[in-house]
Amino acid sequence: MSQKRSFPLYVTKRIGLAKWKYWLIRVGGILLAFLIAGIVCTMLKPGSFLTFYSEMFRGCFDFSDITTVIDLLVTFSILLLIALTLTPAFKMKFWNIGAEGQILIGALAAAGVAKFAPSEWPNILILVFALFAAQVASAIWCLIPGLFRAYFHTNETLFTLMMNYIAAVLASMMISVWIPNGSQKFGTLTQGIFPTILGHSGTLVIIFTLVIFVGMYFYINHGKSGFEVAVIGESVDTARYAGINVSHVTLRVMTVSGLLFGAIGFFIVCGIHQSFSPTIVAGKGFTGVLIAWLGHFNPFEIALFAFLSAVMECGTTTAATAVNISASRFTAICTGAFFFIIIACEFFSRYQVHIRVKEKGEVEEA
Amino acid sequence: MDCIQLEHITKTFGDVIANDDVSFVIEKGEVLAILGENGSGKTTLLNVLGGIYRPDHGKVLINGEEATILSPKDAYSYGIGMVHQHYQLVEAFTAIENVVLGLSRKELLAIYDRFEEGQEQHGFRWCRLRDSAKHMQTMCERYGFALNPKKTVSDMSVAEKQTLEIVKVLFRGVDTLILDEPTAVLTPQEAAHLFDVIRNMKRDGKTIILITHKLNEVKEISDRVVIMRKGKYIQTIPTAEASEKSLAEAMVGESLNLDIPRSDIPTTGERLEVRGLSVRNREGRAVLSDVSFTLYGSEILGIAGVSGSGQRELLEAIAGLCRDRDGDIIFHNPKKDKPVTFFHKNIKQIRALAAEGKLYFEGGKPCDLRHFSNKEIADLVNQEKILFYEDEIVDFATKTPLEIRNLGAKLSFVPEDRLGMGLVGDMDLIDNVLLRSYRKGRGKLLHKEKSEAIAQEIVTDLEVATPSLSTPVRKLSGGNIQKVLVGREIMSHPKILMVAYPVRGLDINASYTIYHLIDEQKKAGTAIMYVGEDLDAMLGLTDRILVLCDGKVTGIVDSRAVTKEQIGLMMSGKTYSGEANA
Repeated sequence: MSQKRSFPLYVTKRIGLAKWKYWLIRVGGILLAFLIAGIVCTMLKPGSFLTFYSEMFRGCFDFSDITTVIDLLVTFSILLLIALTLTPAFKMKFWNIGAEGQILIGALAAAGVAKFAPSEWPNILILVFALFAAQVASAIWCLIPGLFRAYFHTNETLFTLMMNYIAAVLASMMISVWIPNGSQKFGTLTQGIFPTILGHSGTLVIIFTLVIFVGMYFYINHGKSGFEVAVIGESVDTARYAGINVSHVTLRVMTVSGLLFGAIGFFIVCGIHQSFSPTIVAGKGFTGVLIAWLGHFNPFEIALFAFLSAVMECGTTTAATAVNISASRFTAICTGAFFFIIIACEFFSRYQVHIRVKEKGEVEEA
Repeated sequence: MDCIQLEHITKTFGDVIANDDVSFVIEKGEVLAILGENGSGKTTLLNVLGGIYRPDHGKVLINGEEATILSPKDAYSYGIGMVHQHYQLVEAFTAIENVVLGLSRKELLAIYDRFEEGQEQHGFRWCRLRDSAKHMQTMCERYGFALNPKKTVSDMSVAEKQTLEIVKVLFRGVDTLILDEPTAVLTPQEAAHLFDVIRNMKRDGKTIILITHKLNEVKEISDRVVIMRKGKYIQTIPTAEASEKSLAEAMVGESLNLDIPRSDIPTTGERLEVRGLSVRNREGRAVLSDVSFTLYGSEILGIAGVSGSGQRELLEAIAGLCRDRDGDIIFHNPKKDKPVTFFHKNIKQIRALAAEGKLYFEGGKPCDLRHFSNKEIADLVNQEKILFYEDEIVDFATKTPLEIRNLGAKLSFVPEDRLGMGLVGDMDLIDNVLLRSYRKGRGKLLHKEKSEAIAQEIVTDLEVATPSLSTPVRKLSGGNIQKVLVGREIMSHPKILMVAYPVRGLDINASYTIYHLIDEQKKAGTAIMYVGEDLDAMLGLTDRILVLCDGKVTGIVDSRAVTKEQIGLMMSGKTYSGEANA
């Protein structure tokens, strides 16, 4: 008789998990993530457990200082926009993980226009030009992998990933060209910038986000194009048999993605930071990928996760500063833990882990 | 006691009970057929025996002792091997490489011992591929298999792949062989050969378990039949005491009418003319060469052939889905003396048609629209005052599927893979109906109202069992999914209906419903192309049969005057002289 080795744990697929149970798992995961953030903080600074949470709350919802709240909303808006822009492509199983580079290239174009536009032009004209340039640049960056996928069946995941690095190097190079003194400092923009409203230059971004959110909701759920995208994502052959030209839809979706990523790059440069650096997107392009996926391509769910990660990011930054630990690294740890746990929740909601109970007659026989 | 006993086997997947307390005995040296409809739990049950699944409850006794079968390897150690319906072969490997795959040196030597019985062993023993190949050859000769050990799987025909699967299992020295739907993809001749092999194996003392839903096979080859229905064991009957009808009724659980409908009605003029059609696949290999035929209204043309002979390409070429093709595909839209409508023509196209002299006014006057305003033309068209002189001739050969649809050719296609090609499993009935017409209507947003009405009509007319219109079609049973697909296609009142394997995987009742639906369409004047694998059904349902072999037409015959054997010969490449006239 052959050997019987069995691992003490085994996994079975869950079928028909009730919605509320699924959300219970997720809420549990989210709470666990926040708990872990607190524990990590306490480990770094003993005794700071409660301070951490109060500071975290203050960093997000301090209504006495409205800019804190706007800061949170702006972070939320950018994450939401990125995830929403990725959604149509993801729905048709075009795994675009190059949002980072696609935004950066748009940001670069916007920064170039804003910096070098003739200063006698009115601000609004510079803004329009910056937006236009950003959209063209991002659309090109999206269409390159799109064209290759549509006509040569190239793997889009690797392709878009590589384009991120090209974009980053291109951005560094352009700064060297623009700022010949070797300082690599782009400096603050003096023209082509968003007006400051409620003490924050990113306030307009929040409003634009709202408009794009509504548009995207209708595109995904009620649009003919969104319907095509959903059909392709479910089955390319069904789409083909229904007379949908898959290549055209791929290109259309990537163009739309490009236009929106361009706008995001423009918002970041001209609105939020009013400056430029090769790291200005700060990994949000990748975070957006996670959010879109965790939100199951549903705009409202995406909004929820974008909000939670914005809270995580803004809250932990403030808390870290308050207890005097390195904010950027601490935030990275907490955001990492947050996504790790939520993704683990996906696993536990799809599969169930059992402990193998030794049955009678199943005695070990070597 | 030489036998395998299944005792109270229960296996569930989530809340689906695949096997419910199944118990029966498999005797040594018999051919046992497990008969049941799709979804009756036959395959799941035998997968328990083959080591793929573990039962939730119940046990397997082999020769009276409880056996623990946790993997196919365990099953082999009990002498049980399974040939799955979907072949488990490495395409890039040769036959012999597939045969020895997964066997350790120790296991191989044990196998060699079996072949070299009586021979004296001394010194180091080789365990090379060629040694295995030699033994494999010996075995093939014994059972009458024709298989070259060095042939690569990707170069093999379906029948060869199946032979290889059987050889792979026999090589491991099993004495109980489970065959899951072995004839599903074979020609009648290949199936007959397989049955010879099964008889040889039986003579050699092997036990064979045959999973099938085909009654004639059960009658032909088995000693006893175990009937399963909806996961439950129903009964065991000695084959000699059963008739096909009694078996079918035991399988379905109610009395049945097994007559396939075929309305004898005259055809109504040519609809589709295919001349010299050749299609190449992505690699540039010819998959269809020089196919010519004419399809008439009120006719069902069967397309027979071993799977992969070009049936799919033929239908795809007509639907405009194959790019690389030569030849003419000419559609005759039956428009003679019918009014022009705005359904598929706009004012500009109507003006062009009138200028070509293709239209006339009600009453017989030639239609000259040069002096009419758009509004006047629109009124005339809406009152159906402008008529066609002749049938409209459309060449499909250069058109994309969308253009064909826009031309109003009313071509409907029920592809072979219901959820992979025809429908979207995760979408509900309304959205799936919408898939055919979502482009209609103004603006960029979808208009679902009409699709909802059509979906409701399909559910009511075709008696689709669904909790609601917003149920994802994936959750429906195979028969109901097919009803939704066929329903969607016939709701558009097609002039040409192409159906590929419409009853694949359906239970008997659902199959007959589909046959009747197709016959209804024929009565309505539709020209139908029917691709199927069950030759008996095809002979009963169709008017003519076109047989394909390797992408070439080996004959177009009258279904009423041809036998299954003749079709089988043509499927394997023999041309048949008795061409049928329609």
